[in-house]
Amino acid sequence: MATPRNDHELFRLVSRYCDDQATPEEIRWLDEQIVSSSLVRRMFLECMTTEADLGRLSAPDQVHVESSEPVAEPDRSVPAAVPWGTLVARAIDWRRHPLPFISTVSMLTFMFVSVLLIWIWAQRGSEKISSSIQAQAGGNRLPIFVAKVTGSHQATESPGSAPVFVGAHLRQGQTIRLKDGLAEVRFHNGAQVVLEGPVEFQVQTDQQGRLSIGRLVARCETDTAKGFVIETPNARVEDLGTEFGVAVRPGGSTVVAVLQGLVRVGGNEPGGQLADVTVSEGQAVAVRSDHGQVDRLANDVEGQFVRSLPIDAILNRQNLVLNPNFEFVGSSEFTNAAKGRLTLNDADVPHWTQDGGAKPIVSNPTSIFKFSHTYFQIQTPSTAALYQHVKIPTATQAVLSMVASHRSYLAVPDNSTGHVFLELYAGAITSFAGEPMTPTSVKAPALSSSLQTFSNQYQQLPPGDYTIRVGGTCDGGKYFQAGISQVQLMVPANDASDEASTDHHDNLPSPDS
Amino acid sequence: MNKQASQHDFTREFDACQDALLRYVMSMVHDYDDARDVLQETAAALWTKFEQYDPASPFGAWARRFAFLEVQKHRERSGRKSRKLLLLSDEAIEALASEFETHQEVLEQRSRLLEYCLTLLSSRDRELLKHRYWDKTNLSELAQQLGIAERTLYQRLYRIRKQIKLCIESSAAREEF
Repeated sequence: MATPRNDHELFRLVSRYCDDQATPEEIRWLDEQIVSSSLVRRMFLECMTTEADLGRLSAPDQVHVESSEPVAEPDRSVPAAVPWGTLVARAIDWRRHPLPFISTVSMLTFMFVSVLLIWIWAQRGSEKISSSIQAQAGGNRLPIFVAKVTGSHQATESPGSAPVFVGAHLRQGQTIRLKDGLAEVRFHNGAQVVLEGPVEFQVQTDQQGRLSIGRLVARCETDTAKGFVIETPNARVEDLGTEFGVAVRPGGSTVVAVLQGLVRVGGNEPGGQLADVTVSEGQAVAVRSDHGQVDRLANDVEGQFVRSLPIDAILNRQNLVLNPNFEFVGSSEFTNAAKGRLTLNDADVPHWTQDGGAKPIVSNPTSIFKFSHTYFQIQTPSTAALYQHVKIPTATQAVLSMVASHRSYLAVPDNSTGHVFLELYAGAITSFAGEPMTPTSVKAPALSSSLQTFSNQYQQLPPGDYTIRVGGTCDGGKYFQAGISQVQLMVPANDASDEASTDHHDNLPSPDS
Repeated sequence: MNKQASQHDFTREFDACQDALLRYVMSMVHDYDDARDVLQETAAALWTKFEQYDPASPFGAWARRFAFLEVQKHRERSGRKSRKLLLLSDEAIEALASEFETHQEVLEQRSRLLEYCLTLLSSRDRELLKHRYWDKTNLSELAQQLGIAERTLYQRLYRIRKQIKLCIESSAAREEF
């Protein structure tokens, strides 16, 4: 080994050490030098802390995801059965907890996505640095995320579209192109936009989007969302604290309908001929494609916009209704209990009871990363699970459908095996020695790098107490880690009936005609 | 302190120092995944002992004591087969931990500057860093994918690190003014 003779060579050696390329002899030398030389120690420390930051910052999505309900203000007491002290607080590694997203199979999952705020790494640190980064970002060097897809329904992307799945982060300048279906996008300022395909919509900044074709409804309910702007090819619509629909007709004209509050509509060119007009609730205007004028529309166009992701419409289409008689016992505070649905996400974990496993279910009460995955670390031979008692009190022969999304993150050693499962048991039980009800446990294999969605349906469940259990088992190897997100229970209506109309493509009054 | 208020405080304190704590752990553990694991164990330990924390003292220093113990435990647990965990002697690890304490402010500053310096890298280099640190692509596979020799790949990583180092140092010098 050639002993480093200067800083330059020392740095090269440390770099090699970082990439596992240093020889045992070199490492021995390094070890000795670390002990004896403060210069070497310093350089080594600097390299290692930089490595830590590179690991943290080299992610494609350099974002924090925070729950809209800050953990800092917990509003649910922790049941005695799940003392916080027994939950291992995890600082979440983004690589192991990729952004939550849902495949098309679980088209209902959008209902359960909590409001997420996204913080950009680049905006952290000193103002000085942040602004430098912002300035640099124009060169497409650092992705600036300004919005996030919070829901989608039967959305068909056109080529070149930004990804439209729940949880997808949208960078400044990205464009969503839908052939069909609906997508809900939430901007960082709190504004929410429901896009109705066919549509082309560009996320321009965290305060502004551009609708080139199609229609949307924007809702700006938070203070920070005020002033949110939708640009169209010939108009600029500025929110003044409201909810409004915008449609861009194929001929290029813009229709604006105010559903609530006020908006200001004007031309999209500064100093253009078009004077701003204020449009109030229940009114609608059209801006002609020739920039000529703003016409007040007499027609009631309000009903022709899709104002939110049509949960009910979807449920009706799927012949699923939320059964009001479906109850959860065990926690009266269960977030969604009143609505007869059940989700499992981080915020809900305290309301589930822990079962099995030396390594317990891991929640994330401590970290700045709050996400919608619940994360299991399971060591062999063991199982880690959560369960919740539910009650079906009516005489309805319910059909329960459970859907979960999961991804396995890490196995040690690499050939470790394991699986995650969803189970239903008859009775309010706390011991799971017996077999779950049929269809038995859905087992999804471990170590799938892509997110998998799996589901289980139970037909004609008689009324009574049940226990839902989700978890993971390590079957071989030392341990593996898996995340399960968004376990849902739906109680469909008894009898299939007609599909509700899905036709939103009615006719807006067209100023082009 | 009731449990909820305590959780609130803990979350706030831990959030504020977790990146720094990761750097501290990394300075002794040298492998990012191991460092994350240790950080997670540390978070758990801190939470269970949080009632003993004296709010008048700096949380970071208190947390580092636990992190140091967790590093030791991790080294013991991991055994000789572990990657880098045991490559350096206990003595070297202790020397690094103590150097970290004296050198901490500079390391913090470097960390801030790194975020800026990353933006100056070419997209190609950023992509390589993403493969290296995020995707954890095996480096020999990565070299194959890129159609370059492994040696060239290490060389490129070295050059990127060097560029970052120079950027941090020159930016730090500018900040002095």
